[in-house]
Amino acid sequence: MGNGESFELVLTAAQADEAWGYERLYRSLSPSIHGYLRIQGAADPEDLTSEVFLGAFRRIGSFAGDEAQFRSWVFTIAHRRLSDERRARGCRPAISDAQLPERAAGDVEEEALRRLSAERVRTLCAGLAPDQADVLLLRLISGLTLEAIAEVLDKSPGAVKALQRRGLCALRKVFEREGVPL
Amino acid sequence: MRRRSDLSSEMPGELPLDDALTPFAEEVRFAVSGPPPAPTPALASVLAGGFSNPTEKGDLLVTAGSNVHGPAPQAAGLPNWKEETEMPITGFFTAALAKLAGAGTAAKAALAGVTAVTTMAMAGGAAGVLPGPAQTLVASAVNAATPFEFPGAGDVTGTVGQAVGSVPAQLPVPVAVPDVPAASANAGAKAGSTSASASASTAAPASTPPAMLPSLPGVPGVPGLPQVTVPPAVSNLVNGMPACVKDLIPAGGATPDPTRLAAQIPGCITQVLGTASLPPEVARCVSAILGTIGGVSGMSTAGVPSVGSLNVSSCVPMDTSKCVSAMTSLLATTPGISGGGVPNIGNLPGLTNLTGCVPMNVTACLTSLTSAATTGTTGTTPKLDLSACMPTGLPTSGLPGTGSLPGLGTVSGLSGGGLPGLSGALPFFGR
Repeated sequence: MGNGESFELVLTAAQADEAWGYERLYRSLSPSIHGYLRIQGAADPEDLTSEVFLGAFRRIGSFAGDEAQFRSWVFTIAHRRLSDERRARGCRPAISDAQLPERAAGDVEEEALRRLSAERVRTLCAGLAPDQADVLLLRLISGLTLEAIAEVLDKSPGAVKALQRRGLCALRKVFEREGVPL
Repeated sequence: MRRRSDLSSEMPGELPLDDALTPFAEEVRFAVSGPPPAPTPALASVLAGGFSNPTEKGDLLVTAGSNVHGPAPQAAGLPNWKEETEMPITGFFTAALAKLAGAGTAAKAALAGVTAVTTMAMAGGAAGVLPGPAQTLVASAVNAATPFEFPGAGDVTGTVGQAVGSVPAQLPVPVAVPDVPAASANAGAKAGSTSASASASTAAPASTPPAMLPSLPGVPGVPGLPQVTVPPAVSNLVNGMPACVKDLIPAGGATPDPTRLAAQIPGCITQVLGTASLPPEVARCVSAILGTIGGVSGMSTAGVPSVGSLNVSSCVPMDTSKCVSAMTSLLATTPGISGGGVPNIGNLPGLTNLTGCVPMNVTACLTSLTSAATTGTTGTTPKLDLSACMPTGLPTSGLPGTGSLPGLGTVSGLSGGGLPGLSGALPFFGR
């Protein structure tokens, strides 16, 4: 965690309903959760991110584990919320960032570049099977291990490994065929 | 370039990418970088005040920006963040008393009178006396239940003046300081003073608001006491708080009745302690202190606990009764001490008879005591360094049992004023 605080200290504070503990956890994890939901095409990634953390904080008293496990736990919640949203909409939408009510804070140029990057990544992932995209994005964004991703996606580690391998091969073929400059 | 077969030989948490895919990974990571998104009003409320104390603040960026570096240093007149140094203990107690702490200023102020004297006395005298976990535990309890600040285990090397410095100028109720024997009948006797007023023992008022006490000079730092192992059960209490904690807050969120709270809280704390499986030494010490609070109910002045009733003998990891008796008897029987003379340490007989005092540096302790006698008899400020009298090298468990602690006024060598300043520096060793 930032400011030299140990994760255990922050987690205990949050479990004791200390607001600063919640905030540390939110500041630490929300950018990657939000980015994951945005690239995955969530209709409103900001609201969904808040829902993910509200759900996590409500149940944080039942959590036990280290920082990596907490990260995996929150990503599991995020992925399930995303799946619920996809099911509610009935299909996987192709939403451009222009339609999204994005965060206004921060450097405008940086934010514009981030949106362009997210759009390129989303275009590339659209050529992958949904499960392959899930695995690759979770690996790159969350930094979780294959085993942790297997828990998030409710699959076996072997299946996740195979999905990762096929996803990487598919991406490589796209690059070799189209020479997509990133 | 890595071949497909290389994909299986990856480091944990690191996606194996060849040169062609590395830019993709960088693109993904850049896309998800940036500041945290603005939370919804519901989440912003939680981030600002938690679930138990929701606020109407909906703008995280304002709230978070002011708190990004964590708890601010203590500022006079403002509520303080509680420093958490020992999470198993403080975490459990913070959780156990969180609802009480959130009961509102009215309820906390009502309890202030009940705990004012005890808080002050403990702040002055218990600093360095309690074993570390017990100090933190009691500090957590007092800080959660009262508007006062109690020194935690990390503060034991501070001065008494620092410890009682945060007591507000106006206490909710008048506080009566009980009459004390002549040897300790000065303000410092109840607040650990080692000032020159110690020699003017007859001038002490019978009832003095704590805020009117003279500023206290530094009291020698006390070496750290052995840590008592805290059982894992303590940390699990967060999920298993007794029902009495929830019962403290009336249904519907109404303001608790202060008198009822004062009666409920001690029993509840005892119940919580009972489920904590604390080490017996720590439990005895905490129970002794909390018992003082628990013996009081209501808000009448007469209900304020007597400092003299505070028995912390169980908090001292040595047989203090025997030790102090042996030491003072030794000094009293030494030629010259009763008349104000200072014994020669090298000539003191019977050092081996100081039962109850070991393990400690007996010579250093006696030197300190006799130095106090020297300054006291010459009219200068008595200065007693008790740090040399604290036990050293105790094991982390199996602390020796403690006996009841007699008042020092009954110990030979003190009632006659032979050791001026000693009683003032031992506010908890009787009255």
